[in-house]
Formats: sequence, structure tokens, C-alpha cells
Amino acid sequence: VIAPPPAGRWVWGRVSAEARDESTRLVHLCSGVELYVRGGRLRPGTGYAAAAGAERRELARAGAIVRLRRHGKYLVHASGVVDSRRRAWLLTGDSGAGKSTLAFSLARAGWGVLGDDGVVLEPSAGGILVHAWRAPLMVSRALRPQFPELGEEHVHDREDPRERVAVTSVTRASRALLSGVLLVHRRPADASPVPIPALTRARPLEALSALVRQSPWVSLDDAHASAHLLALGRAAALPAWHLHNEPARLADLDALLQAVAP
Amino acid sequence: VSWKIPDDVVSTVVEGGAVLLNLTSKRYFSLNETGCMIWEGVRDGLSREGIVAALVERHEVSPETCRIAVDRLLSDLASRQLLGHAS
Repeated sequence: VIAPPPAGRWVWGRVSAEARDESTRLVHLCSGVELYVRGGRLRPGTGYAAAAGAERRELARAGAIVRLRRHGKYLVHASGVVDSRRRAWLLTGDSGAGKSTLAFSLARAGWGVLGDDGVVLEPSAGGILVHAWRAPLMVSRALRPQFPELGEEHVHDREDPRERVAVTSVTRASRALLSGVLLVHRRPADASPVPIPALTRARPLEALSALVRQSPWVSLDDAHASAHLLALGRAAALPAWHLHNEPARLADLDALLQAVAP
Repeated sequence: VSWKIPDDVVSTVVEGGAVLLNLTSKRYFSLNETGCMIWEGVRDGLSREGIVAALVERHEVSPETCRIAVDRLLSDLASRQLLGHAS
């Protein structure tokens, strides 16, 4: 009756969190530098003042996520895109599944981009609002054959094995009501030659499990955990599909999604 | 034996099942529709016999068979710290 829990990461990037009464302690996993969220404000902890700028930024970003959570807004590890009818879609899946590539492909077809590596969900009376999470859209430079313009962009991090470039030529969106959820799966290299449909309907429980898996902060043991999980449940109750990602289908993605949109 | 949901366990129900999250172990679990009915029974304070009666009413299953399945799930949930004994 119980499905085995898929392996999940319960940290955001290189930062872990622990709830303590009314405060949250954030720790950078590389250095042990601390930052606290207390009384709705960020408070420096051990080593913070002397920490490197990158570590402080990562901690501050995590702190922002915790503060949003206290206001009923929940970050989920997903790309968010907005179609021509102002409907938001989530592309969620494990790292490397192809979320960013799909988001970029849709952006080239005129869709707006809410976020690449994360977006913020806010339950409201009218539905689930998806807010932008400002971070550059990062796409692998290896996709130049499909997207020639990537050759003009600079590699963001020289140590990034995926050689991703920060794409600047996309239209950013600020927020939109959530319309559907796409669970992105990379087609394995040794997959059967028999083609599988690009989109197959996902059950709400599958969508919910996927959203929980991509929401490390839902497990923070504080007074907001239940509302956070409930919000993911509302998102999962919307139409959802498995999207089997294949480079050959990128060009058709816009039409595919428009065809199934509720 | 009566059961209760520990304070460090949260859950949400969707069509076709539920997800349970243990905030201490940071692990989550999913229940199918039948498991979800049992979970909701515990959440709503039903006794074991009350849960069995509700299931028998909805499914073609004998009370004896249903009782075994309910006990098995409740024990499984307890072993994963998703349920505790009511005091």
C-alpha cells in the first residue's frame, strides 16, 4: 500500500535548514556558516560576517525562501512558463531531466519565463498563483545545433561540466495562474525504439509526489509545513502530464501543450 | 489498540491517494486510495472496527479479510513513525 519513498534531496543547493521554535537556522554545508531567520528578519550567525560572498548569497537566498514560506508562498524546484493565454505551466523533474531546455524552447515560441530553477507558488481564492523567481535561464551550450543563438552567449561558470550559458534573450513574466503541471522525464539512451507518446496523463497522486520531491523546504519542521503540503496538493489537483523529453520533439512542444491545455 | 497521528507528521489528500510527510525523518510516503481511506479514518478518530466497517461498505471484501489488511497497514505506518499509539 505504501510506495517506497524515492530518494530526495532535502536541502536547497548547499544550504540545509532546521526549525527551532520561532526561528530557522540555515547552515552552509561547505563551511558551516550560519544565518538565522528570526522574527521575519535575517540574522547573521557563526562565521557569517567573514564568509565568502557566494556563500552569503546562497544563505540569503535560502533565507528569502523561508521568509516567503511564512507568508504562504512556497518555492518549488521547477521551471515556470506562461503561454499566450496567460496560463502558467510548471515543468518539474529531477536535475538533468531537461526542464530548462524545454522552458527555453517554449520561450523561443513566444512563451514567457517565470523561472528556470525555481518558481514560487501562492494559493489564492482564484487558484494557484505562480510568481517569478529571479534567476537566469541556464541552458547547456551543447544544444547549439538546435538553438544556434546559444553560440553567442557566454558560459556562466567555467567549472560547470554541463557548460551552461545564461540566456538573456527571453521574455520574462512576473506571475500567472497555474494551469497545469508537466512531470519531465528524460528518455533513457537505451530506450525502446518504439516511440512513446510525448505526453501522457499523470494522476494527481503522481503529480503530488513529484512536487513534494522537488520541494525540499516542505519538510521544514515548523508551523507552516501543513499549509505548504496542502498548497502542493492544490497544485497537484490541476491537470498534469508526464512529458517524455526528446530533442526531436522540442520544435513541436508549443503545439503539443496548446492541444492539451484545459 | 487505538492510533493517533504524531505531531511531526503532515498529510494531504488528492484524488486517488494521499502523501504523508514525516518532518523528523524528512521522508515522505504515498498511499493509494484504499490506504488513504484508512488514513482518513484514523485522522477522523474512527476505531479500527469503524475503519473496517467503512471499507466493507465500499468494497466487496469480508470483514475478516479487511481487518487483516487494516491491521497490516496500521502496523506498517507505525513502523515508519507515521502513526503512534493513542494514550
